[in-house]
Amino acid sequence: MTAPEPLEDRAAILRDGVAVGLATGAYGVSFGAVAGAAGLTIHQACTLSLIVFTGASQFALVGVLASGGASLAGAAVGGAFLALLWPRLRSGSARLVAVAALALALGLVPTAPAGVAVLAAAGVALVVGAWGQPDPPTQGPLRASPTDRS
Amino acid sequence: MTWFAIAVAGVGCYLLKLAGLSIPRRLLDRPAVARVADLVPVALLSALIGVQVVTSRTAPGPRRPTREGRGGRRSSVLRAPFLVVVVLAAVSAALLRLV
Repeated sequence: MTAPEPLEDRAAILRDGVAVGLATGAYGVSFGAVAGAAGLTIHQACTLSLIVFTGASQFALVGVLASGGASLAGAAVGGAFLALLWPRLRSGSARLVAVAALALALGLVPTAPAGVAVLAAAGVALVVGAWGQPDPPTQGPLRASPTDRS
Repeated sequence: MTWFAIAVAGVGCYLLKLAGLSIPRRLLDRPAVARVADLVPVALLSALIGVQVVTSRTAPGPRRPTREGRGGRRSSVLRAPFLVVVVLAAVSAALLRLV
């Protein structure tokens, strides 16, 4: 921090910053739309973002609060989860885990509570991660960005 | 009720983040742990999407009146902008990866 960065570095940093801001901002707008559709007030939506400060669990909480109420919010929460999942499916093992976890959760959901089905699906990640072949982790700009707050 | 849920979620998520930060570095450096940490969100999100789709299909009862009633107009007005926003989020995330 003693000397200012070279000009080309600053341009790259600025570009990255604007890109992160746009992506995070778009996700924030979609959270606001879902929260509003679920019946939360503006203050409740903003407080949720301020003190919970996570991506997916905010959407999950709004989905729970809206259950029985707005059907739009339920569908939109699924869309938000999909938007979070999509950029993570770049490696083969990630796709395998996604498909296997989906199948396990769908198999369990008629007989087990929804929460149990979802948690059991996390076991697929444990098995594939622990015994699967070495796979380069899906590291990208989003991994380290505030967008990745799932 | 909503405010109570927000407070509980805030405290709970803070404690979870604290627990994650307390995991020793040498444990996280192990390749298997890194792979599992990378794949757990994939499994959870995928399972959540599946459960969401199935539960909204098998329980159309309480949803139908709201769709035909006052909520119907509201949702049809709100649905299009939200899809635009989700697509926008996905596109900007994709662009971000190209940069």
